[in-house]
Amino acid sequence: MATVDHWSEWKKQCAIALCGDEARHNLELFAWQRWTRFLEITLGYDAPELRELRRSDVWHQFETWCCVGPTAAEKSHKDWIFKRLETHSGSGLDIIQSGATLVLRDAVRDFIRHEGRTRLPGTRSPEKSLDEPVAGSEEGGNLTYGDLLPGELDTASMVSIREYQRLGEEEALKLSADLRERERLVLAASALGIPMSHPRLEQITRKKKSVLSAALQSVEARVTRHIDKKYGDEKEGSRRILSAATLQRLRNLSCDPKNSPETWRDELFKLLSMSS
Amino acid sequence: MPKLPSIHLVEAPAWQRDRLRSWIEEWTLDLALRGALGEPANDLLAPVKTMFPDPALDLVRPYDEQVEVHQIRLLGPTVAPDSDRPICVAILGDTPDKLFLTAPFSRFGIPATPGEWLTGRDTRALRVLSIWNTRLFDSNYLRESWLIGELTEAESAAAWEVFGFQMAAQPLPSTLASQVGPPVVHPRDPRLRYQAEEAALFAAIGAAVETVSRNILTEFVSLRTIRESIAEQELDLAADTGDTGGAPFAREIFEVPAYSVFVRAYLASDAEHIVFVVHDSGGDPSEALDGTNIVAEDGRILASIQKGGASIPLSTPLPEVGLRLASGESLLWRKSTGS
Repeated sequence: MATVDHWSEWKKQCAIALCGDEARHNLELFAWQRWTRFLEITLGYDAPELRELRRSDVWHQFETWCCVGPTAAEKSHKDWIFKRLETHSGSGLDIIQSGATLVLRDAVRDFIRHEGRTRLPGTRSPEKSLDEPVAGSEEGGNLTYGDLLPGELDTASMVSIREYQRLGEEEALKLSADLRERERLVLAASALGIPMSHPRLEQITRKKKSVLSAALQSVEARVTRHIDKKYGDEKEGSRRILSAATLQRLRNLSCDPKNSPETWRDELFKLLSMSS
Repeated sequence: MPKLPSIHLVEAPAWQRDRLRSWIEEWTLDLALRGALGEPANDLLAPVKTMFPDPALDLVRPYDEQVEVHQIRLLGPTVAPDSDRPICVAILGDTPDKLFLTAPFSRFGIPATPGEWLTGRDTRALRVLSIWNTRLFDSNYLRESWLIGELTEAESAAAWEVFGFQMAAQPLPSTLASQVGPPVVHPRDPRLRYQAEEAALFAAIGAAVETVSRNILTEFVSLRTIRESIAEQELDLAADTGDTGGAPFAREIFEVPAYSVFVRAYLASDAEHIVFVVHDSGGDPSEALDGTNIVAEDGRILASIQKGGASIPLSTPLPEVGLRLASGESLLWRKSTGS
């Protein structure tokens, strides 16, 4: 098991190769154990990367991340790991090793992205289509890459764009009358760029982020259904643009005091000024 | 069934799709790894209790206290104790009152948004600069960091181009256009959560005086501040000239970069209105903002700019005012000393 003395030896010597056998063995074991655990969690227990894992290679990845250049001045990540002794409570070993673990986490993420499974020949995930759902967000719901990157409107279509905006306004005014208070709140929050996972938003609404995300998704789905039903003969792309214009207008309406007299709006603006 | 007008959509370029996909991959991995750290059972942080000898802190190099523009620094844990990663920053510039424009590097290797710039550096921690998160820092805080490098002249110039693009809507040179992240258009885009987390992390550092976007370009300006500033100028001018009948040139000037025009604010002779007059960069009257509404923070329309000007009564309490186009889009403006 690594000790403070082992870590101190590494800090003094600059590189693991210059440390004694005992320090090298224990530090490499420390890094390997955590690296393995990170890979198990992200790639699964049967990941090929786990079978090929050598302790010295893991430590090399860690040290590479620690160094931003060849000189001692550029190895400041090590200083960061040790300097936490001044700001964190607990045993010295815990503080050093938790700092090292945080650096390892970044190194693991980079390894997986650039040298791990997704980069192995023949195993890299194929290009995603625009209709593919987006992973990695509790707020993602049924988002697709097409939703996130719809492309840009051709400026030659400016007259048409204005017409879509006008229609979006019309539809939004019709739909806004039926919105519930919680739905107006989540629309206003999204208009202000406040994520549904913001802890203060949960406090204001006394609702969990999953409930708030569901409310936002529910409004979006209702708008889409409404437009699809009314303009069913039109191309999907055109309907998507009109749905987006309608949603945008609904968000703006939800921020407007005339349409949303509830006290939470002030709280949202306060929240915005606190986080900006 | 009603008909919709035809419209042409220019598909997002392949590099943007690829970059977004790669960024989402990193983000997804990051969430999983964070979950791993939060798992109490997995013992990742290994709480093995031993006594730590104080001399270990002697192994830490002292902070590099001389703070200068173009430096790249690693913030010490004493200035950012709540950070769950070492934060590297680049100092882009300074102000006359010795504040430093400071932008952090992203923890990811892929630029997330148009305000993040791929530096081209191989060093893992310095690959992407989050220029959208630039803040003003006092040197007293930045001293608590280690110097780890310097921006080259070319890097500094590029960073400023992205800064101008992000903060003042200036056009981005074509050479840089593909070195930033794709735009964020959807309100549930996971990159918004990432930005909220990063902004909160950086804002938590006691040294962050203000966000640059708020300090330099803003949506709303205070009518009270405008009136007080004009009143001060009038007093100064009166003291200089002995004229107590009102100084005709007392004014506040605001720049609207998106339209390359300036808005001058004057106190009307009845002292009951603020008059806004729009000028171009040459000082000539401009009607570029005609049809733009001047609105209060709560959305009330106070006046509409027509024939290059508008007038707002000085009601009580004096509101903060912003510019809003007929389309509903807000225009950002900032205090200026020119034109």
